Amino acid sequence: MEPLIILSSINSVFAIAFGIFVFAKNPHKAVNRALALLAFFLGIWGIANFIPLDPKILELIAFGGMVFSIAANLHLTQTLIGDNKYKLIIGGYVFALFTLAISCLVFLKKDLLLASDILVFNHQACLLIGIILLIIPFFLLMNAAQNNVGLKKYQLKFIALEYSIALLVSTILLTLNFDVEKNIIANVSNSPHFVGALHLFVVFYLFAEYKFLRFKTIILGFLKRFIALSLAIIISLNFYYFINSTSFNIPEKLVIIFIMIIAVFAYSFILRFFKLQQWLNTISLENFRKTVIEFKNQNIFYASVEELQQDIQLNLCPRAEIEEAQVIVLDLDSKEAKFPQLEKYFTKNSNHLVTAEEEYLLNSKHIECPYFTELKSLGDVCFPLFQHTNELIGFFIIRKSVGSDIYIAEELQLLKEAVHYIALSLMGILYTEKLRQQSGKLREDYEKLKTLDSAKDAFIANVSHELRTPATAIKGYSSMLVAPTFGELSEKQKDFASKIEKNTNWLLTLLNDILEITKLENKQIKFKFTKIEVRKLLEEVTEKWKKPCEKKGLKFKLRLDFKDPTLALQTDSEYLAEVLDRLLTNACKFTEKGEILISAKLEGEFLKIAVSDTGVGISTNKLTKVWDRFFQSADFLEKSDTGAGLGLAIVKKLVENLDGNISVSSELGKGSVFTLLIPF
Amino acid sequence: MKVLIIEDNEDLNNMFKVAFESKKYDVEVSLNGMDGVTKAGEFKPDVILLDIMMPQMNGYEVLSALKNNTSFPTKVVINSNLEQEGDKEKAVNLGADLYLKKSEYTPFEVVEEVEKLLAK
Repeated sequence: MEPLIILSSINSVFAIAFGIFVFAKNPHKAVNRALALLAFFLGIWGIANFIPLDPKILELIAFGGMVFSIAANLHLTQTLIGDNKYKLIIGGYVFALFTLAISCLVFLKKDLLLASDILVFNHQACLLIGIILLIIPFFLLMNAAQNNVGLKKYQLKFIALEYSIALLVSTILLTLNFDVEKNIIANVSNSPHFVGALHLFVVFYLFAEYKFLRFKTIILGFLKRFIALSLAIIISLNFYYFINSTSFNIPEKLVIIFIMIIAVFAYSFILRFFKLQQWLNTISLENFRKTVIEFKNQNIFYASVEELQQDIQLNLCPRAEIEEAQVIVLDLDSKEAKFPQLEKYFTKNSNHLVTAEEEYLLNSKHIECPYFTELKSLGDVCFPLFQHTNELIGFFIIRKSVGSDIYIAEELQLLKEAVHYIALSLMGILYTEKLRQQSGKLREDYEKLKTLDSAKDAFIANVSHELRTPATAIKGYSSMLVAPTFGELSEKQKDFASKIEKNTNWLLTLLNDILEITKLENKQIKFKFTKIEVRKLLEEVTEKWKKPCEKKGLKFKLRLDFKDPTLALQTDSEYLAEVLDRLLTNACKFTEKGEILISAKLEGEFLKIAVSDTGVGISTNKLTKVWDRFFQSADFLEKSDTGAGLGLAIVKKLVENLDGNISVSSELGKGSVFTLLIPF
Repeated sequence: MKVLIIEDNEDLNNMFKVAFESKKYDVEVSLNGMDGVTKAGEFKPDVILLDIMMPQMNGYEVLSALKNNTSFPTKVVINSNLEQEGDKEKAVNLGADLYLKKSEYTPFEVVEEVEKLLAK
């Protein structure tokens, strides 16, 4: 046997094996189908030309080709219709092998009964089997088209057309290649020829019947596939003539074979010619993975669904062969009433997606959902979008680019990851929206409360103001009652009158304090910052407080720890004096023995004024509360006769308005120190 | 010494009247601003104790009416519970000689303050 023949035989076997392998792996992909067909052609060709086999075996091979074609169609049909892909793939091949076995049996029998009537009968039997086997998948396809499985009819037709052409061409080529003189083979080889023609007839029948053709898509798809198939045939023919030629020696032929293999890959290029840019990005699963990972790693905060959609359209669609992607948000409040069955379906299959074929299943269960009508052609997918509680919040619908292939399992798995990201983003958008609504309502409530609060303040201020007039009268008259000017009262009467006076004073202080804090809180007081001499201010305060303190038996001291006698502050003297007055009022009121000390010194950019006493002090747990309105330390209360608990709250507010700071430290029973920091 | 008290609250008006009389002042009273201005012209007091919040004519209006006459020698003491920001300033700008917060002084203290002012 010649080496060239052995080599070619090996090549042929490899080609067939390669074709089956590629096809079986992903029959959905046009590139796989085309590669498988091409390899198969080459394989048959190689065997037919180089191995001087019995013509019967060649005929067997021809039948094998037909069987392969049938199996491919059957397989494809079942994959498209069925719900368990793997079961049906196996089923498809079992069926194909069964066909093959029958063919073999027929041939074996034919060999024994050569040139007899039985032979003719067997030929007819072969033909019949071939026709039946070819027609079955086409009935399935037609059935599928009528039941609207989600396949566009033209897509069914193109799949059919593709295989018809392949079958026809292979039949013609095989027929040409056989010796017509050996009539058995010629007769038998007529059968696939006939079947191919029938095949074509069915296709064109379907083609003509279809009413809503998308011409652009059809022409594009047709051109693409036509070019691909033509190229395959041309390569095959060239290969055939080339191998047979005597112009080249074996090494030269090997080099040319190598070039031809490269040409096979060139086929992919041509197949993708019309979608070159997309192909560059989607040629491999790895790129697809990269696209999805890049997309979901963006971690963008989307303000609205439109923004999310835009991002998908921009960053995911072009590189994932998606023509149009749509995020549909379910109205969460009315969803349950609208699609109870749908919700049940997705809750059961929470990690699920709806493809064209599943839409068919859902439709057959009478789950009506307007979103599924968005699925227009094979490869379109509807993904459910779930939030973390497994609650359906929307759908993500993908419409595939014209002329692109449907997704393979790995791609769908990757897409699911992208969809997970989309679901999370959508959840973020929905929650943000909810939050925005709620915060809007809170703001409204807050504004309402604020209005109420200021109305209350105004009311308090008015009432306090009005109360002052009668209080002033009581105070005035009771003070005159105590005075000896208008005649002496008895000791008891004097005591009563002075109690009236004291309580009226308390009442007036209270009213004044309420008015002041109300004004401070509503920012109705304007502070006038002027330069004041610290020494002068503190000496004035000392002068005012020294006497009343000493009258109570307390020492009163002023200590100035700075040297510059004209040291001046930029502050509001009136209110600073008030702060000191209020602090000293407390100090004097709550100290029974010991001393009250005002000390002042520089501390950075501040003047630090401390008012310390040796009075009752404040317990530690109450220290932070002394600044609250109406707070009164129980320790204070025992000693206190007047006061409303507003003094220190006013002090705090005043100091804040003077851009200063005030703090307190104290020890129960030992005294308190209020420390003021006033900026220069 | 003559003092005119312009104060719409009768009890308060009487209270100050009693206090000033006890210190041997010649006292005239007026219960509203309009009347106060007329009485000021007739009575020619040395000092006027003037409230601000009054019906018909408020203290500011009385004050500016009185002080319009440049040769008017009478001192004016504002005695009011008003303490809105700028009230004191406004009164001083209009020519008030003293501003007392009504609720902070007993009648005798008011008399003392007036005496201090007149002694100047």
